[in-house]
Amino acid sequence: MMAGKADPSDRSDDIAQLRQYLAMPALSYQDISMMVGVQQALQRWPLLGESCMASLGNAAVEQPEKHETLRP
Amino acid sequence: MISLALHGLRGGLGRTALLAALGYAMRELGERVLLVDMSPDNLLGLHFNLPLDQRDGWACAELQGRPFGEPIYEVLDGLCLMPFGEVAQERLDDLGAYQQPEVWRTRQTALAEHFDWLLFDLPHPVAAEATRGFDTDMRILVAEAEMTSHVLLGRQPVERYDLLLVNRFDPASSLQSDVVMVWRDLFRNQLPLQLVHRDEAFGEAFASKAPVGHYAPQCLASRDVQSLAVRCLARRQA
Repeated sequence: MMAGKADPSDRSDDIAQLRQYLAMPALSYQDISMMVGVQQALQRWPLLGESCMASLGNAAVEQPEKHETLRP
Repeated sequence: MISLALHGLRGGLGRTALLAALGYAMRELGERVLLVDMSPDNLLGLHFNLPLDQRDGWACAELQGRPFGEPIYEVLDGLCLMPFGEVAQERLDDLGAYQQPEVWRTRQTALAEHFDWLLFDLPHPVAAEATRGFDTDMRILVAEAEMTSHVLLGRQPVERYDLLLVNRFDPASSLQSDVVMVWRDLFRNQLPLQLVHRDEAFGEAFASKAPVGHYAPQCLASRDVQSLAVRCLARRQA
């Protein structure tokens, strides 16, 4: 594991290996479990949710369309 | 030579013990390290077995008109320390520009040939607005995975820092795990994050007047700090 890499897809060796196997280094990867986990955390702790509302709200708006297909 | 400072979101985050541990870990990797205590609390030396009544330090020398560079203690081979010294509250103002980046830039240049690393223990962040602008090559922001740190972090320009160091992390705490998960998400591609686990050995090490890596080299916190040191060295070599 590469400690400190902020992008979850870079932290996961399995994803890196899949990219290598498919010879698709730019393969887009969305960590669904982390997205769900973050949403649950923001609901669980009201202050956390309130403080993140603005920044995460914008991030959600800026999600590129191509990620739509990977959502459940 | 690379200079490095641990910046605190608030006081009481254990930065002095962390800096002592980091300096020790770097020295274990063969680096020549100088630790400079910038805090009037004058605590850093106690982590390296200096006596409690040791009152002299670079700030005292400065007030007495002695040249910069003394006193300096070689606490271990390749590990030197400059205490702040004990300075009466009313005389702290006379130190004036002691935190000015340009003053220390000149001093860092003079020290560069003797050391690979210059580590600064900055004072309590609320007491000194100047610490935010203190100029070093590497700037590490220290936080705990709790809500005070989270709210204050939201007010920080995080792009100023190279690393967010989460100290005293307890993976059994659901709140701490949630906060770290949210931070990883919020700061991805902006600010790398590294954990140092909560470990009783930190407190015990200070009680024994030793850095944690010396007191308990195999404990979890020591291994975390060793990782941090390796990471800093990688940055230096890059």
